[in-house]
Amino acid sequence: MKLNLEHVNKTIKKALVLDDVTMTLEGGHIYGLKGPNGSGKTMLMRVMAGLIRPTSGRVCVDGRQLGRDMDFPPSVGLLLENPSFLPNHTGLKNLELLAGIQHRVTSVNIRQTLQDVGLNPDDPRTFRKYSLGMKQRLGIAAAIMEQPDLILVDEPTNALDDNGIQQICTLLRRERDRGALLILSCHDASILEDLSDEIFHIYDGKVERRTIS
Amino acid sequence: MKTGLKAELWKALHNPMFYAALILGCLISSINVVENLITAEQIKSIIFAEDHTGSQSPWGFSLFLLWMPVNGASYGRYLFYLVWPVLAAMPFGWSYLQERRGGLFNQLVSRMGRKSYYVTKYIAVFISGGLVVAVPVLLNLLVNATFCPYVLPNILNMLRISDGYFLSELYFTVPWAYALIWCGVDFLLGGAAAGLCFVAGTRLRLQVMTILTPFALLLVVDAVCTALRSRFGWNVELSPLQLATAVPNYFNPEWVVGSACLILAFVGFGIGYWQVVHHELA
Repeated sequence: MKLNLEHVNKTIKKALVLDDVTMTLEGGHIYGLKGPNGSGKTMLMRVMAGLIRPTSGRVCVDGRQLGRDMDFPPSVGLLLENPSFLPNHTGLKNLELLAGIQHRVTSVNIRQTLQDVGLNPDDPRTFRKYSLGMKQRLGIAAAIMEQPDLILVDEPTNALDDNGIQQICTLLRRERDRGALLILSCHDASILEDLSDEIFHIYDGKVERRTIS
Repeated sequence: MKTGLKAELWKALHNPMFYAALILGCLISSINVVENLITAEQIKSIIFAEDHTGSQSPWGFSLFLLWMPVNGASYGRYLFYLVWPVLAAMPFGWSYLQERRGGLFNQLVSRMGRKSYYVTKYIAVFISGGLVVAVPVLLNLLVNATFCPYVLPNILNMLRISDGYFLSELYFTVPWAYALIWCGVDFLLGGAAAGLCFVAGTRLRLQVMTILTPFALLLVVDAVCTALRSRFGWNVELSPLQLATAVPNYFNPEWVVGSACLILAFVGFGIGYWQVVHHELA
């Protein structure tokens, strides 16, 4: 998979939140987005995911333009902002409902993904009763369970303990080795540097520089 | 889209707000049942004393005179047909706002696309809203049928339905068919009113405000219709808020009821489509 952003600008209420962003990202890599709060990292990820259209410029997935040739990347997993699910259902039921839309994975795969992120598939507790860390793990499970080609994760290690962070880092590397294109933002510089093959530094909506790990 | 629709319907019909709205609707409609029970106790002795066995009810005591949508003297009817837009919006009308604010929206649209998401969401909101209005009306008929005699309503006793009212001839000849059709009308109006929740989009911050949106909009439409009626001297009921009851104060011919359902559904779906699929993409 190849993701191209060409001169992407985004203006919201006359404020420029993305300023002439141009980048080319390829599958089998993990790309990190680094920058202070409000610098435009999450907005950039939302544009890449097709959730928001750029005011000008193009976002292309394998040569096909988002918003013109297709609405969303054909195979995408997301964890943007806080993980959110149906509060009155278990983690397994929530993932089964999501997976039921595209039928790309079986119930066995979903159970395996839950175990991979450190959750018990047979846990009878509803999402409402999950701890913050469990919610985060479920959010990551939802993003990767269908083995998408493009994975966008915003602050994947939020609320996780050290063991959880290690588990998630291993999982994200596994997805990269499978050939997926991963884009992540993280406030913890050491995790971002450890995981990422390349890091884009963003300030005021502009990609100032990139560093290669 | 079929799988997405199944998932949305499952969510709409398996959430506490759906059950709460259904129970609340049934409780309000049971006020009418209690009123009818009191009437039944008062009139029963007279009916038995007269040994009345005819097909017409000379006492005005018939299932189809006391059933909530046609019983103009019932407090239960008054209350139910005042709050029905709120009941309709309660089960699932808030779900778009919740999913949008919570982030579940992202998970869903990235899998099914915006148009499919909106269409399936609208259908689920429509069906859940329609059920919450129609089921208490139907249950009210069934519960009243356990103690009210099934006799044809008499034109002398039912003064509120006459020529110019919705399927009036059917009402006096095949009342059970009329009753079932009216349940269908309430289902359509309830569903269309629930769809008006999309008009609010994500502008409102509280779910309760989204639930109140259809009621507020229909109140405004009601005020406009009342003003137009008095200005031009029309004797046809145009307000959807009033049209949910079978016996509004003005005529409710079939074309008016049908048009009201269509216009409500069209407005709700159209504005919602613009909000969800186009506007909030910008």
